[in-house]
Amino acid sequence: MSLQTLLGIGRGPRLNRRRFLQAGGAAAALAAARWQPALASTGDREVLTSSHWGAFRARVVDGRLVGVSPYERDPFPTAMIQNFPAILYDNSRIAKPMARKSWLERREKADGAERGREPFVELDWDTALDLAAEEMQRVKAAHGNEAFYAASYGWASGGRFHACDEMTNRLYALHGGYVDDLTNYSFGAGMVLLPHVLGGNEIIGGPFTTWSSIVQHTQLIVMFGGAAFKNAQITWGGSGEHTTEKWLRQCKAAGIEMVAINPVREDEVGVLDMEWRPIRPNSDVALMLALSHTLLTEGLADLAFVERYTVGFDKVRPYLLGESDGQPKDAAWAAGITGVPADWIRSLARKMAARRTMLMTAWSLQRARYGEQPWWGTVLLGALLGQIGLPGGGFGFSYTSINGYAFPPNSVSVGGFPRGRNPVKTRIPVSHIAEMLLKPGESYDFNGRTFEYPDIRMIHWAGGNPFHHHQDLNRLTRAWAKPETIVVHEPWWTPTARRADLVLPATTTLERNDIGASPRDRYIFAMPQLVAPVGQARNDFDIHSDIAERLGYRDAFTEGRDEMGWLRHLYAGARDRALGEGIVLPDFDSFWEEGVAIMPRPEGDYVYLADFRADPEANALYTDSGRIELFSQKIAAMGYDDCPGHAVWLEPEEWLGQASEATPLHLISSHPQHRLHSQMDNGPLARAAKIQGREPVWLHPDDAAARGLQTGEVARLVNARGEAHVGIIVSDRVMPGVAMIHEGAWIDPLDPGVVGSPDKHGNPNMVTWDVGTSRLGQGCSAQTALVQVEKLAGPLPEITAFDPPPTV
Amino acid sequence: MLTRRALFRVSVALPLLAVRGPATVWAADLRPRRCPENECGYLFDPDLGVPEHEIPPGVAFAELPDDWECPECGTPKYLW
Repeated sequence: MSLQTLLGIGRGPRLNRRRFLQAGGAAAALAAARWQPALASTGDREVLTSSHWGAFRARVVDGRLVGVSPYERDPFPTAMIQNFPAILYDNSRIAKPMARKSWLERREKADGAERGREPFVELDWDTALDLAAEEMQRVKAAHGNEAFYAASYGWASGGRFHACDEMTNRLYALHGGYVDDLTNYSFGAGMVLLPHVLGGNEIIGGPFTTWSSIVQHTQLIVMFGGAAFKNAQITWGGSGEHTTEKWLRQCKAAGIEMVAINPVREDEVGVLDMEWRPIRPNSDVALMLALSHTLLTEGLADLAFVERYTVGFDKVRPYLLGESDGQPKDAAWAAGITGVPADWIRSLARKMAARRTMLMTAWSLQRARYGEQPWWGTVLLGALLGQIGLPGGGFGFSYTSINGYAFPPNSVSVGGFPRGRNPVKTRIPVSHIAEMLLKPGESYDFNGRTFEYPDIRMIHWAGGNPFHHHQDLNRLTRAWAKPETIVVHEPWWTPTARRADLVLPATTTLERNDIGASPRDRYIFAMPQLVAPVGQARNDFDIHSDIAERLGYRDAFTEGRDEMGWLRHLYAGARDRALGEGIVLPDFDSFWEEGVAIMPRPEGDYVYLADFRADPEANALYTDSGRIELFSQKIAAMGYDDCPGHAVWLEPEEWLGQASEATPLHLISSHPQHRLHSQMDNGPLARAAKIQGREPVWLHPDDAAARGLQTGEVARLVNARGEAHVGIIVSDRVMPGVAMIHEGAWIDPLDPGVVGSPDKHGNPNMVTWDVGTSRLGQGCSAQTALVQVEKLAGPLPEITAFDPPPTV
Repeated sequence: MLTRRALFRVSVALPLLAVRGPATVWAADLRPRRCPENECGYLFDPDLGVPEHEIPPGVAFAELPDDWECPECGTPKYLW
């Protein structure tokens, strides 16, 4: 298949109106009906729109999307937009509403363990919507509102209005409430920790020290976790410009020295002339402690800063020096843990103290067992350097994990669809879904309090794919069998849709009207409907509204607005907001006609904690002490041995220090290059990057040679939790002992729905560990997993991840 | 530039002065706060309040109820 065919460019309409008429006859019409959208308009037009992947111009011919081209103002557009024409019409689209066969027959008495195994039955929309409403009424009457889990976590679509997860929240809020989630899989542990340490999470969500401040003032950037361009291809809500790569290149042009401390040497290391320092996964806090030890013992620490702006160093100091446990956290000690040479550690500490240094610690570091520690260690190291609040100095956590961060504050944003107020107050840390389903009534600790898991009987999920993003998918398979009813809205037959009882086909952003905007971008895009809905797909808003009607609260759900009414309403809010900032946005009709409204580029630099540094009394932090808490009495009082009162090294249960013959490799599952988590795994770019149809694992040449593996072969990725079949790429870009894979492949078990069945397609969460980071943050620990990789003998089974499931 | 925001701030502060007295009005931290969640970024602006939660203009972030949550994504106050 040619690349041109793969990308869906230049093919023209598969069945345009003229050809349709020429074909004539009922047989041709029936054959085309399933996948051909209604021909909404004739002619050849180019339409500007937006997406999580950025803005682009869509080419629509006779009502069919035939190609895309990047938005001309975007300096670094992503190639992933080229997936749109193919995935829009892909065979994996869900054509009609569907119900799992035995659930349709027996409802709550059906065996939940059959999910993913048995065929579906096609339904008409009225029947499907009746079933959804009936189940909501039945479960509420029988078990109460705490039996609903309608948190619906996932990236969904980029439009501000069709935020399907918030629509699900609103539907269930009107229904009397639901169990909701807390935090996220991205930085869940960090966002629980930092309010104790810094008094808030501005350092994650912004504003924090701007890129322009860094380019002007920084001399050394130390990146714990590295910085990969691929992570900055996406912006929640869309963007007019991808700027992270631009700023990193400006850093290089400005002569800023950059060091990437990472088990994997990403592409940007070469482009930016960065120094790559490989480190054992999960050991970064030991390196931070040793850097801090060197600063302290060599008289390089800014103790005046520590004294004036922090509390608790008197508790940390004895730990660093070994006075409290007999082990100085010196460079030699850290070298034994991290694999980073002691001399290099001491040299880096001296260099950091001598220069204006910015510490950039990646989100991924806290997605590990005891993941709170490297983030707290970053704050400790930053405090000892004493550059917090100075231009270009200090630390940050979100610079390169995603596009759109580290700009001057933008006070104008388009509000999203309102989620309503949930009468039920029970919430779980989002990555505890399997734990919740498996352990109803059991208690767990979180952030100093003890909670009890609810007994969930019904799940409603729109716009997410937990059967890709959750850890230990065999455990989730066991847990997923528990609820009586699972409703999923999806455009495609994702692994989660295949494991639902009631599947409601949803439109994509290309099939509906919306507004694309991000609070971290100065562009507001019209996202007009480009093509008619594919198959029988409906908008999430209409699906939710129609269910609400059956329950008697359509008007409360819609507030009397239709799709365009909501867009006008949300835009009007942003316009009013802009006026308050002295910015005049065009009226809605002009905006919609033009396709984009561009606000002025925010001016000036922002320096995180500059006001606090200038006057720590007047600008006290929202911590208990009003200062940076290097030791937190509040956390210490929780009594958690997995997260004590200051940054410490805690040895994970799985890391290279615990490697065994059975599981000698540490698995790192990174954000993918060719898709957004699992979105677009069915697209041509992701498919082209697979090896014999399987997601590749990267291995060091020594590890590959020891297993007789070569690039292009297929192997088993395995441990006691599960198994996935993966392709092999042999490269010295990963350090010995480490296996790296991109997350997001749609699981495709040999025996669908069967616990323990190997995944043919290469999803790393078959082998990751479903455990909280600690009792404090209870974030996910996806980056803590020991595995084996071994040759896969015998013929390879066919990949069926993108084929619709059987129907009867 | 005298923006509507500045005018609004004055209009909010003056009535509050009468009710609370100058010490509490000028001591309150009326800086906006942004929701940290990636998908959200909702801006809590004391100048505007949170009409959907019946929070009037002039209430500082610290004065919001302990169980207050982001109106757009539900992130609770203690995680901001």
